[in-house]
Amino acid sequence: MASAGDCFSDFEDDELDKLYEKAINKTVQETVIRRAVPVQRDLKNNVLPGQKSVYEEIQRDVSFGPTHHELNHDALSFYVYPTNYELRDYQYTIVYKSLLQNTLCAIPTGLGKTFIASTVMLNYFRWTKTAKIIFTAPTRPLVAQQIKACLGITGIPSDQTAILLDKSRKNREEIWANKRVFFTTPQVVENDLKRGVLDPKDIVCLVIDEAHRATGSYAYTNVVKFIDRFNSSYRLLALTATPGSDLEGVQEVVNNLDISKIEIRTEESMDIVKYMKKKTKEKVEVPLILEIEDIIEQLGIAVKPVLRQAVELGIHEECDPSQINAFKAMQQSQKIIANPTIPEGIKWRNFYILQLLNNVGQMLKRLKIYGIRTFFNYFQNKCMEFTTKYNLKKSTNKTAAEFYYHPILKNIKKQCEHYLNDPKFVGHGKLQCVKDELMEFFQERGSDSRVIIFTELRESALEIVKFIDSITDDRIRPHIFIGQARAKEGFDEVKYTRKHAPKGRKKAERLKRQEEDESLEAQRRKNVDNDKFERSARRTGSSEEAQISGMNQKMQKEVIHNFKKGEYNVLVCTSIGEEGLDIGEVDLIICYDTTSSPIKNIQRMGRTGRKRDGKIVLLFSSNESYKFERAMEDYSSLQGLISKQCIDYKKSDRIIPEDIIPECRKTLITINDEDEVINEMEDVDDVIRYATQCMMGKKPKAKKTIIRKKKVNEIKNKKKFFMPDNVETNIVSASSLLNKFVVDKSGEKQLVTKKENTNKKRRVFKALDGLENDSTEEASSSLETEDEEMSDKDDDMFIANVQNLAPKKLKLTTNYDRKIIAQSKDPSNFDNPSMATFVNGHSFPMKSDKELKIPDLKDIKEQTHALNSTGDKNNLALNSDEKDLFRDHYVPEGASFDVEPNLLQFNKEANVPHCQKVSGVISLFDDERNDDKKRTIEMNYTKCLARNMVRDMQKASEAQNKSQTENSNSISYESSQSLTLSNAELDDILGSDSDF
Amino acid sequence: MNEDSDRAQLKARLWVHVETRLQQALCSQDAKYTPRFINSLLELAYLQLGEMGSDLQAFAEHAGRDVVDRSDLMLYLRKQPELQEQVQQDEKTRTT
Repeated sequence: MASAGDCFSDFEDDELDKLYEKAINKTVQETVIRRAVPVQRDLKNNVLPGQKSVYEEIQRDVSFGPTHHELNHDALSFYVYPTNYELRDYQYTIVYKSLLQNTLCAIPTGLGKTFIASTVMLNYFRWTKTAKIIFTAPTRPLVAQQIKACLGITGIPSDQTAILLDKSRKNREEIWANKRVFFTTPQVVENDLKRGVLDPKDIVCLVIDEAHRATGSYAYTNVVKFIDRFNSSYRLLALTATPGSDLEGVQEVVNNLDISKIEIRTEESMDIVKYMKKKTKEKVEVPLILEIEDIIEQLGIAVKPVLRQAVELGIHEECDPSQINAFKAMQQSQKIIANPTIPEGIKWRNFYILQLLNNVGQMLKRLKIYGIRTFFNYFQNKCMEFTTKYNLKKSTNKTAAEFYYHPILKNIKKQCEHYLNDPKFVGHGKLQCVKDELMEFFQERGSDSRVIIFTELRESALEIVKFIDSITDDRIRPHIFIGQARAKEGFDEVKYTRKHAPKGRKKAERLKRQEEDESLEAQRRKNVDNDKFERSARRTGSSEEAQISGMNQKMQKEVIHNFKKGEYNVLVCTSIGEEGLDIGEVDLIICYDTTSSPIKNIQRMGRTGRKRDGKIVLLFSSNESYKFERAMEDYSSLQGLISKQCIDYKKSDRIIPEDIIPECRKTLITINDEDEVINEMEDVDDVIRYATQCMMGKKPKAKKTIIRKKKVNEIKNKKKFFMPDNVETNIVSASSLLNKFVVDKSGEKQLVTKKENTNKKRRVFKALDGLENDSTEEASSSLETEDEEMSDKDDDMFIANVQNLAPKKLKLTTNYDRKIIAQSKDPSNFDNPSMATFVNGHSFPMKSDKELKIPDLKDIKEQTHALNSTGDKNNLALNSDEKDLFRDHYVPEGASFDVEPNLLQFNKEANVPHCQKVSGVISLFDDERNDDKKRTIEMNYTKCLARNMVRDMQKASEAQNKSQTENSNSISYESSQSLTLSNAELDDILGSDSDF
Repeated sequence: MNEDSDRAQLKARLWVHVETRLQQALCSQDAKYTPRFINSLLELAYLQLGEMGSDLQAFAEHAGRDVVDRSDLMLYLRKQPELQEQVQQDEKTRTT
């Protein structure tokens, strides 16, 4: 059943192939078969819209050319199968299939996928001379595990292997170049491919562990996509325990990794069953204790009005208050937010209602599945958060207020506190079950056995640890095991109130606040230290510590180490313990809760029953059993679907020539003594360290070669970017990629073909830029238009004119004919120094043509004179060369026409200072340009005085006119004495608001 | 301080003259002037006059006189024959 998505991706690949002109040796032949199909017509015999009249069948035949890798032909006739370990049928068959096509191998954990991978890697190592083999896994411990297998079991020579985990970046290039087998994480490969450090064509085998992660744009998919562009001859082996949770998921993985075959085995498969130990599954249905049911009812009463409102609004379905599903509510709320058509007021109101329902759902979930303590932590946190915000008026959510301030909630709080204060109180029925199971287990097995308890929430994990501890049985020693992230800090009421309380603006208040902050901070620190101190006194101290601050890798390793040693024999894990880490074998697994992901469930259960018989206990309460059954059913049907050929596979490159069919040769591989050591290593880091040492060449022989090579490679390789053939590299400007069209006379568009070098129009004269809008505009715009007109037609005109010139006299009829072909600029042309005169001259040697004759000197002179006589500035322009020359040498670079002239700029060799007047002038204009305040004030002052004088003068003249008539033209000369003002009067004038 | 206030007074008076001259010169043409322009013009005029004064003083000293004379002015205007003529004519109209 080919899904639509598959068709598209295939098509894209082919398109890309065509673009790259078959850089790889994959040929795709597409045959399209079309069949006519009857269509539906309407009464007038027209085809109805949207009907397809043909049925297209597209058949693709993919074939591969011969590989480009160098093969060892004598080694090709057989493949090595190590018999160091007991031969297992399923491994045998899977290895054979994987050698010739890309396989996805899905067998449960602990059944020897590592062995399969190392055998395949070994054989490709033998078959090729220099090609590279890469093993990738998402986490370091998995990588280490594989190294152990490869070096310790299949005997791949350790001097040709390299381990590339993030730290060793320096000589990465060298390592890729010199070694053949690599153990690394996929992101490293992705980065190195993109950097050009690793050549995709060198790869012949790629092994991918935990392949169910190859979805979306995880590094696996990107790596495969990248390599596919350049190289089709490589073998891909994908390993996982669970290929996907549904058919679409599996199909996606198949598409991303170019898988041709899936080898899937489950725990019921015949060839596996005989190698697995017994695994007993016990499903325990745990009823809810009375106290929990009571609280649930109370919550239901409190939330009922909100729920009713939600149902009425149509945003939530009708259900019993105790059945509120947090996840559904959250989904709904997100949908509402994403919907742009709902008006804002309604949108937010609905959102807050759903948010409240979501919170209540979470509370219910905690009550039902995890226990009262977990519930109460969450509950208290949420209540405090809301009430604080509401009291500070930061939130005005009335519906939520109705809920949180409901009197029944106080009751709940009281009850919970009462229960939790009782040390004998068991928060959930499950805890009791856990206790019973553990007691029974250690009774039977003794304290040497190990138990793992899985739960989803960290708080729940801590609760379990504390509870187990309270059993005070020395045989049972629990510890928590969680991830690295810090726990989310609960709502700190004090902090919040202080932050949002109205703050005073005055300094005294600010200081007071600062003091308070400091004292609070000190108090908090003291509390934290106290808590820590107290914790260390308790046995569960380190667990509690871990729950608060997360466990970093070092801590995790320590705990695992102690667990294996026996210091702890019960490990309470969150989802981090399900996949990846080598916790080792346990005899009892308790799943405190269930997930709806079948993959997770299987991973959890896969921790036991490998080397020894194991027991799994699943604790269900409320609807968990239903969840579990549904998930597992879906999963088991998946296997059926896969084997029924429901997946669309891709063809893979056989690599080995068609005529050669390798035979199996079972050999006992002798491992080098030095490498034998690795088999004994248990610790991940030790393995990695050993491998790194091998890579660096701890053996003296190998070391020499490396040093020698290093000296040779002193010259750093230029960074290679792997491009398909026939590409233009370098940065290209977008405008050069465009097609330019010119509208023809007939109105049609004509494509302008690109010329070799298009002249860029440069402004020759920046001088006039500043005054573009001023009176000199005319000249400048004429400059520009001239440029524009000239440049495109330059070339055409040139040739035309040259031809004109050759034998005949140049007719000075049209404007454009007046171009002169002059070798150099005639200085006489610069008689007229005005900027608007340009000389048009093409420098002759620029474009030489056979037909051109050098015109006579006479002609040139004629034209020069003619030019001078006309003196018409509008038809002359410089060509680009000359403009450059002109600009460089003749135009002063900084000529400007400012309102205030900038005189300082052209002081060349000012050894002699200017005389007073000139320096005064210079400083005046400097001040003006810089808007010097002092100068302005002075000038205004002068103006004030002057105005006053004028006024007085007028008064005086009036007075005089009243009395006598006088010579009016000598006023300004004679009545000068009366124009002096006293200082007091001056101050008056200056103090008043003047009109400046 | 006194010198400053004197200078200020001088400049103010000069301002008045400059403005009147400017108005006279521009009344025929239809041009406007900004106050900044007059301020700058004033400063320039002031500087020019200052230079002229010191030059005249130098000439007078060179000629061994205490008082600046007409001949000093003529010497000052040697590079501007038209102005020289103008001044001479002015003088003539005044004396007559």
